[in-house]
Amino acid sequence: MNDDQRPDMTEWEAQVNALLDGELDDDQAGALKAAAESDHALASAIIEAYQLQRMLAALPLERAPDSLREKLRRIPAEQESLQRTRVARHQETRRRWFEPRWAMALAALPLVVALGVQLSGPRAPSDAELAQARQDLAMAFGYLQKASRVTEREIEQSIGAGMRDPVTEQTVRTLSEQFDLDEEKET
Amino acid sequence: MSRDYQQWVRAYQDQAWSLARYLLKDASEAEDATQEAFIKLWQHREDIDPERIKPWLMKVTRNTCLDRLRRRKPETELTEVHLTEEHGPQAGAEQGELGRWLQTAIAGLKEPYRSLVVLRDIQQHSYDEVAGATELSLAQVKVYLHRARKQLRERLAEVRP
Repeated sequence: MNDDQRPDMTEWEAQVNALLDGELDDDQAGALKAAAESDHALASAIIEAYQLQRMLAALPLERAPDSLREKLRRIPAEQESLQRTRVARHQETRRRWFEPRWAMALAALPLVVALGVQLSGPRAPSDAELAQARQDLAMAFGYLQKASRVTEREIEQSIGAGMRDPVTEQTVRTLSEQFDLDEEKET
Repeated sequence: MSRDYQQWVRAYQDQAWSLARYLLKDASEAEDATQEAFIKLWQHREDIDPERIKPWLMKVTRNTCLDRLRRRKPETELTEVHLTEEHGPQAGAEQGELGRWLQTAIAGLKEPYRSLVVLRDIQQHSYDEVAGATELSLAQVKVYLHRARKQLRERLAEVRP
């Protein structure tokens, strides 16, 4: 087979690999072998690939060292022990949370929160403060009533006197001057 | 369930360890990564389809290793020579010079080529399992693996007489 007739070398290599992997059927394998008989380069490629495959397959699988074997064997026991430790630690944490002092602290939490809300918001007066305020208010009303009664009496007195003597001497004097009431009397 | 886990450990510990060694190169870090992957397996054992344990474990091992590689500072990246030395003279004697060279060449591949070669060509997982472990499609696995093998063949041709 000359170079013009030969398929692309990459294609040959793919077929050589397939041959070594046992993926070519009898007809394909026969055709490749027949081509190799008349193509020295292809024959060399098949031989090299085959040799390489044999060499690679012959490389010994290195045995895992004893120290590693022992570590791998112990993994279940170690992992289970770790798991037990984790569970125990978790349970201990939970148990601590449910101790009486923590339970009491938890129970008191809503009260603390409520108190905080109360302190941070507008403050309601205490009963004592309310009683004091009521007393102050009653006293203030007392003063007001007293003042009101005094004022009322003064007004009554003032108005009452005015009503009792509605025409004052000043009024008479002014009118007398205007109309000369004294002369008329004399006449 | 613990019995199932112990069976999985026996069946897959060498494969997970070997993958971690190829990816991380450092033995101590590979040991930690493998242990981390098996801890995850234990923690998720009830969520994983028992039929898919192997690809799941290989995927987690690979991802754990890649996470560690990303966290590494560039100057702490180990050299290829280190890998060869880590594998030791005994391994070298068993495999021959070419085998040691091949391991170094694999260590020099970039991801995902390196993982694909280890999973498919060294550990012989099925394509389906490799796709699951690398979170690639089957077509991607084949294309990338083809490229990885080509790179190895080219390097092999360079060192061969």
